[in-house]
Amino acid sequence: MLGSKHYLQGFVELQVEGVVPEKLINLAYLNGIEFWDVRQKKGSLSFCLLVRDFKRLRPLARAARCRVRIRRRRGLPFFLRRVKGRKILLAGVFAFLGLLIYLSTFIWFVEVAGLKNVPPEKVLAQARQLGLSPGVRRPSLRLEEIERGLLDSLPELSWVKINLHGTVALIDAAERSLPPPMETPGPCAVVAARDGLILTVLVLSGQALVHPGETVKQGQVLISGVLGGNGLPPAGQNPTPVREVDARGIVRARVWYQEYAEVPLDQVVRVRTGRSQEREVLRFGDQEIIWKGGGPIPFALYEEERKPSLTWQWRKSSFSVESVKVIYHELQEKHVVLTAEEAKAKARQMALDRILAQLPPGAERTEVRAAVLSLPQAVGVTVTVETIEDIGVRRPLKGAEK
Amino acid sequence: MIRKQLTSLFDLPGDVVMNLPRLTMVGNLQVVIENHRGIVEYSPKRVVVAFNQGRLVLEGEDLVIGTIQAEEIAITGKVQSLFFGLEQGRE
Repeated sequence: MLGSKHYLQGFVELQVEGVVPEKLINLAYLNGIEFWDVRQKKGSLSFCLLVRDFKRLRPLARAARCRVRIRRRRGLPFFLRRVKGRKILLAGVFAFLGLLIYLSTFIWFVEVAGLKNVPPEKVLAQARQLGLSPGVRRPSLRLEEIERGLLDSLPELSWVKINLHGTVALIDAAERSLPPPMETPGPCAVVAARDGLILTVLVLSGQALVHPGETVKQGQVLISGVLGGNGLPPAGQNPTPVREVDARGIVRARVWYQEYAEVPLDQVVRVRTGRSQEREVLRFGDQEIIWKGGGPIPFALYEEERKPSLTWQWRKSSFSVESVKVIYHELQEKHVVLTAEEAKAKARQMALDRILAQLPPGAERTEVRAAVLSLPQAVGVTVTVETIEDIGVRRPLKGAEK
Repeated sequence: MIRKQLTSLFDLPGDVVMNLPRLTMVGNLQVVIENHRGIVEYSPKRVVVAFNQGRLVLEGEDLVIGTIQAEEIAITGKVQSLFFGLEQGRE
């Protein structure tokens, strides 16, 4: 501390020769001259003092009958005097300092922290677009705007803070747990899933093209996703611009399903006899290896039942190892002769089952009719089911209405 | 004598009341002397400092007077011994 102060002001190292040099020392400090590093060098006393005190020391030295010689001049003033002639060196020093300060106003590194699923490159690329990249000057950065921009453009992020540490910009981010992306294939139209008679049309968005009482064919557009643009505009006005929307709505219609089933009176039925054989199978992906109960199956007629018992799966890979228990049940054929009534009930049930398999969930059955057709060796039944259901199906607009 | 009694009675610091030197030593590396009256003798092996009622003799090797100010002298080097030579009849 003291040293740097002395260095800045410049000091000289003196050599004192005399009978009693201590006298000079005492005189000097009594006169308030600050000096230090009093030591004996090569037989004579030497000490240091500030340049500005040197002139005051001269008369004191005479009084103490000492001779004072300057041994070394040190400190910044002397150094500057020496350097003054060397302008290029000085320019270099200042150029270096200037460059150092100038370069430290740039951002040289951009780093991202705090992310787990979002790749940092994505954030870096976005930050680059917003004006934060290596080589950008610090004063030109508007950190709050960049933070906001990052949040706007990357919905995966819930929080962003940019900290500048010298030439390093650290983007500290927190991820948001996102809901699964909505399946919006763009503008949609609602079309009929099947033929029917329209009962009610409830439009949530879009433009209804059908009215209650109309019959529609499968694939017909019920609610259009295109708004405006149809019809002639009033005179002197531009046609309303066409706008495509995501059409939604509920179109309830009366729908008829018809199925025909035929049951022969003389039937062969397969029945389990009660005998069975078990087999254990290991399944690797698509391949199966029998490891218990090998050998041929002793039944001429059988059906198999599979019961998976253990499954090993590595993460979410498609490859899995499975242990499956296969049970083979022996079957026997039996001749059964049905009465007309039994056959009719069976055919009706078969036809109805087929219809029920087609019905969408939420369909409301209003009427079930059966027409019986008697054949020489069989009974045929035509079942008609009338339902009221929402027949609207959303379909992407592209190509749907053209 | 009265001053000495005063000092012990009121537990006052002697350097203030009796104008005695106050010495601070850092191991044998540095001696700081406050309240001195100048240097009597200096050589790298022996430094004599005057104070109000006598002298302080420092002996050692490579002794250097680090700083001298009106209130304080700092002597650095290898101090080996230190003793007081009292001058009689100055007060």
